Amino acid sequence: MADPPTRRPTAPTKRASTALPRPVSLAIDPSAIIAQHATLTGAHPITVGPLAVLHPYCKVASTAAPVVLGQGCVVFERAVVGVGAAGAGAGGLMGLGRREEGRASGVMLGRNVVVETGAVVEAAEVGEGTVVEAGARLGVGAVVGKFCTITAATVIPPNSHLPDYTVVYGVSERRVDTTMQARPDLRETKMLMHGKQIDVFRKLIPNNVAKYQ
Amino acid sequence: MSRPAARKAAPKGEYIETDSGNKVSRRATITGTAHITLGGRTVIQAEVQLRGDLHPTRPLPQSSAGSSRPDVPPTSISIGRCTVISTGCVIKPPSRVSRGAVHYYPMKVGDNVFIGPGTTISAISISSHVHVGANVVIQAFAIIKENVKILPNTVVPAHMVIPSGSVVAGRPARVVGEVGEGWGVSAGGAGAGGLGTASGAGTGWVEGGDLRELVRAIK
Repeated sequence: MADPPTRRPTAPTKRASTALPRPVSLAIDPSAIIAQHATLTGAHPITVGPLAVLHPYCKVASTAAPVVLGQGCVVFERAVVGVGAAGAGAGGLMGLGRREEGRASGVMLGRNVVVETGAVVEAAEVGEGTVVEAGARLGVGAVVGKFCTITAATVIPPNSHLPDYTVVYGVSERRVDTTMQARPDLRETKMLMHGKQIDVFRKLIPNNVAKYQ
Repeated sequence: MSRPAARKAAPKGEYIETDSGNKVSRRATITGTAHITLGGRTVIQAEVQLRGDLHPTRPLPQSSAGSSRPDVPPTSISIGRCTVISTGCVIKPPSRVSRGAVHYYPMKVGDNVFIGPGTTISAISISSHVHVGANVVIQAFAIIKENVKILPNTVVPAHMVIPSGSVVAGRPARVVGEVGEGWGVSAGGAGAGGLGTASGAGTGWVEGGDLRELVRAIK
């Protein structure tokens, strides 16, 4: 009951603006790298952590629920992060997008999550070091553990739960990455290399973060 | 008098045509144009994304020889002749860790390659006369040799080498057959018939064959 009146005042201004409403609150760390053509839209808050990288033509949308990108997240071109953001494409795919909308808790990407080209992430939570490869889709409300790999073009159904170190491949087959699980030094190396990848992006991608400050 | 008017209208069309006959859609999203080379008569359709900005940063190994042309930007994507990149494709050079640092590597696409709509490519090299279906994902450092057919919705894993003349499908990709004799040869009198049917819709080309007719037909 208390929620709708607080949102009311923002609604008319949103409608008055053009197709891409600005989020109510944008908390972007100054050390993030946001390419010129990256889009941040939606009515709910968006938080972008330090050293996060948004490639050109990626989309972070908080149309239905808030979005949080953790430290060092990388979102590649054409990827979409946010509930209901992919439009008819993803919402229609599962047929559950609309039903979940009311109680969607938003999208939270942990540290050093990589979302590759054309992937759609609507999951509630994605753990540290997880890689979502090209064209994969994470359904609404899914919870993905740490250091998971969602290989290219796989689909994770809504509200599913993936434990830590899971690899999803082929047509939704799963196994556990025992190497990663048993070797903390490997995990550390992976994160170290991820940091170096971000350094390269800093060199190559013109940073437009000042626009959002 | 109507001639100049007609010519003036041409730049408003879908494609921008370069001197060497490349047709690049106005709705293609290309970053880092300085690092991309197109061989000529190549078509880049709408909503294609070329990531030329992710170029190699490593200095050339022979620094003395490289210093003679320090202002030439490194090439990250080079595409051959008569290649068609369909709508919604993403072409991104691959990167990997080498000597403790991340580097991007230049990628090459050969001649007469057809790339289907919605495909994502990070291969290091694609040879000539390759036909890639729709919604295919080709991951980093894959090598695709000549005369290969990749069926739609295939996921070619990283570092896979596809031998020439094979048909590939599945997630992850496997070789499921061979293209056999007659790959790229149009059935039934290509020579004279091709000329006659050039104006007909899409009859002037075959998968893996010469794509010149297809390129000509795209306007």
